Amino acid sequence: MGTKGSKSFIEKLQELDVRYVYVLVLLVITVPILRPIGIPPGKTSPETLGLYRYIDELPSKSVILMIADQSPAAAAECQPGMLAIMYHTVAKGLRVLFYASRTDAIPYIDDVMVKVLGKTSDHPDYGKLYVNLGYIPQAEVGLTGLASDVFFTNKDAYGNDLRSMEFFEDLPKKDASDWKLAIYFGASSLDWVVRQVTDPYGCPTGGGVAAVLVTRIYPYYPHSVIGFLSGLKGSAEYELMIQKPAEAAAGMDAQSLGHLAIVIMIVLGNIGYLASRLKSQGGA
Amino acid sequence: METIEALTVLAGSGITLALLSYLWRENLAFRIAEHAYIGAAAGYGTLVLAENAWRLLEAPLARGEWYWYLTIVLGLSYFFFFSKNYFWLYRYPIAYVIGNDIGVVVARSVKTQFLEQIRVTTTITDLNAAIIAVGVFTALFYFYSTMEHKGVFRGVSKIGIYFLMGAFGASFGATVMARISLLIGRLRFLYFTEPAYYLIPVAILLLFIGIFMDRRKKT
Repeated sequence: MGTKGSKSFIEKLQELDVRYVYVLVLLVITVPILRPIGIPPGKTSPETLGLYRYIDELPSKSVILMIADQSPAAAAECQPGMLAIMYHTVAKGLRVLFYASRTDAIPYIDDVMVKVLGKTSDHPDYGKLYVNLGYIPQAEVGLTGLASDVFFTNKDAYGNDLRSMEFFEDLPKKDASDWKLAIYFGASSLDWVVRQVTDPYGCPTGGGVAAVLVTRIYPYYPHSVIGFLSGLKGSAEYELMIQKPAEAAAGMDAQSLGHLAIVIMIVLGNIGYLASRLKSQGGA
Repeated sequence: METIEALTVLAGSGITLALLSYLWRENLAFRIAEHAYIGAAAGYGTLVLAENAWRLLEAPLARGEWYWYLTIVLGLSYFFFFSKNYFWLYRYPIAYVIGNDIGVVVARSVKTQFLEQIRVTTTITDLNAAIIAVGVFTALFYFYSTMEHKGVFRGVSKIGIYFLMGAFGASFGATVMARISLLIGRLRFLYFTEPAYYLIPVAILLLFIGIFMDRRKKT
């Protein structure tokens, strides 16, 4: 090993204060956010395409369940996708039943309704095409209750009686077999939706999930999960498919450059590791 | 923009910057934001849960179904956690919730996560399905330690470890993507939401003062 005064570039790089890496990542992400470069989005993934096509081919008034399970930590990835899918369902005239499976996901449902419909329970189609059930506790147990009886919560998030709503009038069984799709938005797990809705009632599952969850969805794709939005990239693809580029599409330049910076740092780190290992083997 | 809305945005911006300041080092602003977040989350969660418990109970109680009161008793039993003498009563709601969860989850997991996965993995329709089948088999074999991995079996085990490494790599890549997305979301909020960006120069100034004071302490 060299003395302290004669350290090689590789050795210096390996001892670099990690805070310089943070500053570099911050700069690499900030520049394209403030001044978009317009990196081409590339080919739409089959997962996004699967979800888009399925929703697009549903007859109007079909019922879709949207499960909000995004914490503030996952909202940056999931919320743009939820918004894009909501725009699509409104354009297709589908019925949407919302519910939150965690307390901090409640505001995201109102956010989607306000941004897409302009209103929540005051909207003229509320109770006919859209219903927000609010928070249902005990994630999987709660979904089991809802799947077996849509009137499980008795009232919606705003205190309205569910039995008096036009939304549910023509549903034959009043359980999950009436739904055409259940879409999960979040980062924790999607297994329980497949377990409680898809397998027992035959209603396929879709997802607008944080990228960390993606590798856990593939075992169910495409036989149970017909398609899903993979993090910000999936949301951006969906925004482009419905021709409403918004927050996710705007973040893709930063996402691409951020990844590039991290890949370069991983390569440099590995070169440094191999060089120091070779050097120590040579010196031994 | 209304005053209350502006204050909300400023609070969001301040807390975001305070939490990001941890990247420099742990500091007072970070600790205040961290504790405020935990306190606010606990308070908000308690209120929402109480409201929802009442929403679910209101109708059956109005119909005179008295046995629903038992759920309130069961829920309140959680407070026996704080009693030395009656701590054992706290175990009843815990046992009920866990038992209920296991009953709901396990019964259907057998089909979804075991039988259905075997069916799908062994149904080979194209090259991708064949690769997945080989990956699942060899990765499982890697963990099979009843027999020594020698000869052909050593090769099978080696293929399994390559599949596992590939899966870990994909998982790591997805995690990086998720974290960058989170940062993009926060930065877009800080840069484009008025008056959130007013606090950015303040945060930078405080950061430089902190770095300057650190250096002075060292010398």
